[in-house]
Amino acid sequence: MNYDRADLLDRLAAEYVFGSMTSRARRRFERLRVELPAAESAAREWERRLMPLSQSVPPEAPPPRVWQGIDRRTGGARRAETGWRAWLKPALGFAFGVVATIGLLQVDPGALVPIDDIVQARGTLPQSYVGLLTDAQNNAVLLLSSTRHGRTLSVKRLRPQDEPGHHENEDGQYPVFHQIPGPADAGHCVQFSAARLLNCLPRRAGPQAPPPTRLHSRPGAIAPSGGARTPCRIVCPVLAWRQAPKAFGGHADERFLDPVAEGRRA
Amino acid sequence: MADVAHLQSLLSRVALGDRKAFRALYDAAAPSLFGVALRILKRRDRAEDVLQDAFVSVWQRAASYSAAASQPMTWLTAIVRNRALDLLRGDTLRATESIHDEETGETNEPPDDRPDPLGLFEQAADALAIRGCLDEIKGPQRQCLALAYYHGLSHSEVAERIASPIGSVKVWIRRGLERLKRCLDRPT
Repeated sequence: MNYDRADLLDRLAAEYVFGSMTSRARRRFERLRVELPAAESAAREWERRLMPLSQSVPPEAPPPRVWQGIDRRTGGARRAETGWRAWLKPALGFAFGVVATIGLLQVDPGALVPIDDIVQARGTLPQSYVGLLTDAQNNAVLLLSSTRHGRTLSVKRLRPQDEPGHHENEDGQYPVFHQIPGPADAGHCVQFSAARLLNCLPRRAGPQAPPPTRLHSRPGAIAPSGGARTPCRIVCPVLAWRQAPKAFGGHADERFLDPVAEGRRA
Repeated sequence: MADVAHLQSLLSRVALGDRKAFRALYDAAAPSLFGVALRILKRRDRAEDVLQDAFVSVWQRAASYSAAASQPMTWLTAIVRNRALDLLRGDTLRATESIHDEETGETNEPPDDRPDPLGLFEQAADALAIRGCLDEIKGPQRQCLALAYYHGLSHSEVAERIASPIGSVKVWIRRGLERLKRCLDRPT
């Protein structure tokens, strides 16, 4: 069909607007309206021309449900809840999220942010446990530290130490931990579980390492004998004493883990 | 009917998302548009659907309305008529109507006491003062035009309705439209 002919376009537009076209012909002309400005113009002209015929149709009030449907479909029903009601749910959700996040960070600062970043940001360590392992002369030999809920125990040798197996504390058997309380834990003693403590032992135990059966038979715990800066005694000192200097690599050895042993007070 | 300037103002505000203007536009235009849809579809539920769809479309497309291209009621009526005609041509409605026709011969709609298409056509001619101009369009030809415009019947449906050959109906409608064009475009 030659759509360059104005008379043809005009006739098609007339029948389209008038309503006498079949469904298929209507679809074709609607595509033509989009593609051909002359077709669109012709249709507009016929719409204008025939509009007066529609004015003879008596008006009839539509039922209220029509507007309700329009309002719902165009978002008006939702917008009707503007004001404080509309803000209530998102505000409560946001507040809950803030509280939950603050709570989580209070309980476990390292849960969301790497502990190094926290240290950098605060300039201080977060709540931590710090333990000093001393020799019989009360000289600091090892520094052990971990965040309050940390899973890693850091062990740092402070001075060269001879094989300490022959040294004994005042109980004749155990070396002594001295606790330096963390910021919020003044008065509490170090309470690493044996599992955590042993977790720092070398993967390959040295020749001095006690057999695993012995380890398990002597669950580790660090027990306080007083308040802040008071000595804490380690119940399985032989293990820690002998192996801690070799634990600088910090590899774990599951054979030494004791999942049930927890710190207990002496 | 609301005046053109007021409707144009409402449409421009609707284009900016003004819901009060949208409601005002609905209040002003919906009765006329519902009448048009009802006349074509002859079923209230269908006419309500068309009116709803048309106003949802107006809300979405108000920015595309050009006051220079058409008057507000012309634009709105075209939207409603096109949707009504599309629905009328739809297979679903066809099937529904055929079931009604074949099984019961009637619908659950109340009797239509509104003017018939030819009556509406005459009223329009009187209102537009073109009755004399349209005198050349005689009996069946005038009825063809009325049925096609007010009831949205296609050529074949008109032919069936007035029991005339489809070729004759096509010629009558084409000539009738040419005559209408001359009558409606002449200066008043």
